[in-house]
Amino acid sequence: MTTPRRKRVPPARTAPLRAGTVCEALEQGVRTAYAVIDEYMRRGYQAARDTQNTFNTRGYMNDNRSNFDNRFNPWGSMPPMGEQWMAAMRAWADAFAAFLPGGFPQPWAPPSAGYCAPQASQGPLALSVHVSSTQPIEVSPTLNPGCELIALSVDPLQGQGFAAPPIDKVTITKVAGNVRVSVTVPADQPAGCYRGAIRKTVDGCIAGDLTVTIGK
Amino acid sequence: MMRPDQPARVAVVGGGCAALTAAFELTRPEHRGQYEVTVYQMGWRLGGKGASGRGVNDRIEEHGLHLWMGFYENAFQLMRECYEERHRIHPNCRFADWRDAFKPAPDVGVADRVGDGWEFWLAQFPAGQGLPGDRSDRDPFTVTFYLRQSVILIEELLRSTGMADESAAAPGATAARTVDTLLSAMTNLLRYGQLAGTAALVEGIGILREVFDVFSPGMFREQMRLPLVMLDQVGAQVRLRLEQVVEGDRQLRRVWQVIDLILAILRGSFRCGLALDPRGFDAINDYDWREWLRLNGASEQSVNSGFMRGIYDLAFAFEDGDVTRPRLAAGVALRGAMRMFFTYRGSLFWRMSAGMGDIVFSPLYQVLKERGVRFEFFHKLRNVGLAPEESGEAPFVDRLEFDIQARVKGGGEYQPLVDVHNVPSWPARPDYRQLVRGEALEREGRAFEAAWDDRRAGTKTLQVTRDFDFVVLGVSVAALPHVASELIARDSTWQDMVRHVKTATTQAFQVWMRDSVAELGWPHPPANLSGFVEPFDTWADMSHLVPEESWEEPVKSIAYFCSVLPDPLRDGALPTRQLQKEQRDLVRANAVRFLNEDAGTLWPQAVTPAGFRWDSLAGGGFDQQYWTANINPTDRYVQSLPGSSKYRLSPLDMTFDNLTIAGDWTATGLDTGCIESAVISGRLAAHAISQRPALQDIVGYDHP
Repeated sequence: MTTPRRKRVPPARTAPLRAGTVCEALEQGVRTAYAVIDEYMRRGYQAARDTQNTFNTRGYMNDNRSNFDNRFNPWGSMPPMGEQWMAAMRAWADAFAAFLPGGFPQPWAPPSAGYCAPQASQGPLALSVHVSSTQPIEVSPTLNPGCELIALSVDPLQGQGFAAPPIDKVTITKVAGNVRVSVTVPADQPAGCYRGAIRKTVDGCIAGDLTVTIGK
Repeated sequence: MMRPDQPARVAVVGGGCAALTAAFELTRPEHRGQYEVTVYQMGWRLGGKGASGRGVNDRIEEHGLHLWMGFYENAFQLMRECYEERHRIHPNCRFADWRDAFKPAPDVGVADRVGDGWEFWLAQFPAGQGLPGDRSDRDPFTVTFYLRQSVILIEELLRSTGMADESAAAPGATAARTVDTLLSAMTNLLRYGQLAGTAALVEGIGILREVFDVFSPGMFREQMRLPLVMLDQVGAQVRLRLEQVVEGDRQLRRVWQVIDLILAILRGSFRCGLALDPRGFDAINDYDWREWLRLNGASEQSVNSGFMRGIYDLAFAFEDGDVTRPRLAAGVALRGAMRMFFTYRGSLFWRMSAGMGDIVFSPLYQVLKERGVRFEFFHKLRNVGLAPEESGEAPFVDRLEFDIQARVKGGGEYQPLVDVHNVPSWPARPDYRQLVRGEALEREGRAFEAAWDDRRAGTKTLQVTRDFDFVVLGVSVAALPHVASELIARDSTWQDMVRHVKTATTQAFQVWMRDSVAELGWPHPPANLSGFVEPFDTWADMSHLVPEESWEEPVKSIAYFCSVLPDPLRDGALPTRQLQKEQRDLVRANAVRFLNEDAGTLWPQAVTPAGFRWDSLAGGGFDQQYWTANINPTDRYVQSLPGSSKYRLSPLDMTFDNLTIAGDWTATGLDTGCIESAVISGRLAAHAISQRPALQDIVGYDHP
């Protein structure tokens, strides 16, 4: 019997990544990623609005309303287009990670390892909205590109064009890389549109806004 | 039949730095014995171009001068691990710690021709943060980092001229500004100041520093015009001042030369878009280094300065060994210079506390032996054989053919090391007592490391699957046409590589002296000096090695000299015995002439009007010293000529699916002939076989 011949495993790449490559790719990649995210969020919000009546029939809501990759979400599964965007974004994130040093974390780092590799790509943005309310409400967060990576706070939500106590039980946090928006609406909160700024914790600059519409 | 869990057998051909690094990586405990490594080595010692031997009086005999640079991160990591592991195995060896084996050598000098004489510019580089090989959580290698460091260096150099102090109140020294205010400041300065005055020049450079502080690579592209105009204006002023410096103030002139060169680098980096070019610094590799600096505004005075000649000397960058043809790829030089000056740690240079063989290859040999690596000495590679094309498979190596130069008595493994002052060392000659017909071989004058000596005791052919699974081909590129002709014939990229990646013959001599260098009249600290007169442009004071040798007569200093040797074999032919003798005689004549005519410039007390004082040498004359003509294919220095780097093949290349290559002649990212390149190459070769180490853990592989 012939002894099988061993062959080398083809390497992932055969040349160094010159920094210029990473910078250029990074710039282009980030631009593409934000375009994808923006479009995905726009379509996701549209889908959420379209299906609002189907999930908003219960007396209270305290659900994880992640719009990302949760087909069992009571908000309903993503529309087909949303899933396509999601898949595209994940494919982009995976592919792009391969171009970054440390993109594929290794199971074994030899003791000789010198410069630690930069952190691997964080993957696609995950945004979840948690609402506690006895009234039907719509929550619309808007986040500027890049702001999902930094610490954020949100101002109390003020009634838009009418006098009402602000909704101040509003938080925005990062949990395990996900942006989590949490809103608690008092039972006697007047109906209407409330809005507050999302700010960068570090300098207070506006990073987006959060709109809650009650009673529609 | 081979079981899937059976170790893969790796034949490592050659015992140089790259080959042994590959062996070191493949036998790491983390691999749990997946790779069974055998090293096949010509002659009696490991080390390749880094091999050294102990000769008479245990004196250390090297191929040339070997210094380690403070940016050799991979090489120092390897050594630090190796020393730690060796200490566990052999706790009583001297140089137990790597810091005993490597010592800082911060004093560096270049020589400048002044009229009929020479002047020396010596500098002591400050200690860099940390030590080479330290773990670090950041990767400093970006173009913007280098550009920023370059401007900071200009500011420091300006300060040394006294200009910055005169202009301490200049607006450029104020707090950081925004992009908009910076652009505005540049516009104003260019419009009104014309950078004519001292204050404006200092401010201009201050603004440039701030530009590099706040600008991202994207902004380089969008906002390139103003910084470029600013650089032009600053450069014009610097050149004006360079011309105004009177002959008597040579120190000041050298500072302006360096500022001029750095400005040319900054300007060229902008113009060539290096911060964004996907090729990194390779984008300018078709230019010669001095040519590229000229194109970007450097003055003739600066590109011909001792500083620049020192860089060419360091890289043996003279095509065909002809000192009238300096040629060095600009991108390789720029990368090397940036790494050398801005990323060194501990010390700019490090010197070894004994011979390179003793400091590097003895510990590697001991550790690898302990790990179970087999060493087959006296195996000279004759041919790397490929499977026939009609096999239907991708090309692969199916046999390795060796000449067995000598057999070991009893069939055991040759024991290569000798003890010198409790340092395991390599002898300069084989231990014939271990060899079959040893006395006869010695009497016949066997030259086991010479290309011309084909005498052999037998042959051996290793067959794929029967004797090996993978091959690490670690012989030098100049030897490939003689041992790998089938590989070259099979693939055009191999043909291009052997045609374009050229090597240089080199010459070196060492002298042992009865007086200290200070007694001989050298007024400076021990230094490594480049840019000096040909044929020996580089000198290093190696007097620290005296205690490591065994002299009965008093020896107070040791000096090493080296440089390129005009290539007697431009057609790539193998040297004959006669040619080897002629070239050795030529080096001797060169050295004697140098000592008679030029050594007095370094050591005024070593000469009389009649010439060199030969009685100042240990043994009483030059014939008792050591010299070498490195013309064997495996001894030649690998160059980085303009336009050649793109033809280097990577150890990761898959042309032959069971073979990888290792050596400083391969594509390593650094692409220079040096220890660091060799270690990177060895790590890449190990990755090619085992997927370890991860590429991102090879420091500096992913570099602009």
